[in-house]
Amino acid sequence: MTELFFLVVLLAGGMAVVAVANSLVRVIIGAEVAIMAGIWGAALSGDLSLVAVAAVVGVAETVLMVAALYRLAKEGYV
Amino acid sequence: MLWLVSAIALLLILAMAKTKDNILAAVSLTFLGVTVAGAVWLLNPALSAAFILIMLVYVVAALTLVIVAAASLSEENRAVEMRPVALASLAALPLVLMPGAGQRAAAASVDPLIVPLAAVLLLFSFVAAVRLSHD
Repeated sequence: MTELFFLVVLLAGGMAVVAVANSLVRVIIGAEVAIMAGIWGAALSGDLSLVAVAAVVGVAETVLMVAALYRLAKEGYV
Repeated sequence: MLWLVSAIALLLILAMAKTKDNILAAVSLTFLGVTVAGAVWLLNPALSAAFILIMLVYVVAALTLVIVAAASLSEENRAVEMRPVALASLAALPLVLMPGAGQRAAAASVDPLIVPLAAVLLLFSFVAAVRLSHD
């Protein structure tokens, strides 16, 4: 019960941070919080391999989002 | 004990939504990463290797974001308004009613097959990032 409550806090909180964002950096931060919900969900299964995969995907996702943000900033959209 | 962690996470997320400073929000993200890592440890002490893993990931991610936020400081300082649509995410609340999986024995070792696959994924994302930002 508490585990699921924590999962929903992370999911809903991440989406709320995205919804009230006033800059693209804040959107990325909200997406990171939601990815953390994915890591917590993997940890609930009790399998370290799933946690490792979720963490690696989190890194790849951050790299891609920051690169996209950099590109947008260079073109003057931020 | 997990209730306490949930409350801390809720406070950190609220702080993240309310603060106007991107750098403070990124620092809060680091603290939230450490909180989630500690929650994994509390959930199952056999998974304590995950603590180091998650903490490292989020410290690095938040540091990157701090650098980006510092590089793109434009200081508009518009007040953050709580838009009603932000509450739509509470539609996830019925998930709490899902039956829990129950505690199983933890598999506290990483499948070696993950390492090359993760390396390929990271290489792909780095190549995509370089092509994206340097063309």
